Amino acid sequence: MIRWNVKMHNDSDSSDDAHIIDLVLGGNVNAFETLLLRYADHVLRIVRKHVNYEAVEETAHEVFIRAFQSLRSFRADGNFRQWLSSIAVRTCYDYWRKAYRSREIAMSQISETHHEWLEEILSDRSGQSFEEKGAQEEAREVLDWALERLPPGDRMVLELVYLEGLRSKEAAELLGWSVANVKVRSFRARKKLQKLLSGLINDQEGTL
Amino acid sequence: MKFTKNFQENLNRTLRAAYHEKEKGEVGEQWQEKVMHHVRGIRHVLSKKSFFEQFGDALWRFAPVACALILILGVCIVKFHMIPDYAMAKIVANDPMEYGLLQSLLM
Repeated sequence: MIRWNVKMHNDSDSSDDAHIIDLVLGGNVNAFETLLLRYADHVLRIVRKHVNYEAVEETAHEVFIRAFQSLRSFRADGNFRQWLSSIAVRTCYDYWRKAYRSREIAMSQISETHHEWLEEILSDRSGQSFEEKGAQEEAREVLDWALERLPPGDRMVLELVYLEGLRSKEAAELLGWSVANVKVRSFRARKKLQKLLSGLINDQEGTL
Repeated sequence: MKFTKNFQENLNRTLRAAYHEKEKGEVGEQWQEKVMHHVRGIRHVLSKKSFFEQFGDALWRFAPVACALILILGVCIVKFHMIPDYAMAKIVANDPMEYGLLQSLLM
């Protein structure tokens, strides 16, 4: 599991980042490419998990542009990786808010193959590990189906706390929310997800 | 089919695995170049100053003009014997004849 906490971050990288940021702020814009190369994979990993496949490149692009534009606000003693993660998460959140506002979301539908996949999970007969089952296309599609039906805030908090496994405090820092708000929303979002999934099972029962 | 606790737990673990599976993928070769091209195009945003910094800069631009005005006024006061308000008030207070401003300037 990828955790974006400070512990994993190397101190020498941190001071090096601060030096590169100084160079960029001093007018050497090309030095920003070092930060881009260093953190592109990290940002892309975050973005891929939160937005649709076709919007990944555009959203990750937006993350680096926002980071560049607000580079002056970065504190030299801060953790650049953490700061960038926060920008990435908030950019993904903005992506969903914008998409929901303009109603550009194409709601996916559940087919017979998804029901079969759920049947396999229920019976637990396949002998596959959770990782193997999760790697199946049906798993991602069922997950996307459920997440699409949640409001952007619920979706983000559910992904960070419930699926990513971050603590409420970490999720609150990334989203810029209060810890209490994260706790309340993650609880409600989990209930909604459970209701959606149980509804899916009941639908399946009805069709059988 | 019942939504049992065991099933829910299995589904949760599978969905978590599916979520982490999403992080795998590639971006186009040109992606980083596009980002840097965009960054170079907006390099001016880094030199953008805050309102107070801009206000300060604008204020200093008027400093030579202000100095010149002070010098001109100083010369005028000396040359035309202009009396400051304090001296004027003193004259009015001490003089029983009640000098007017015009009279004091004409003297």
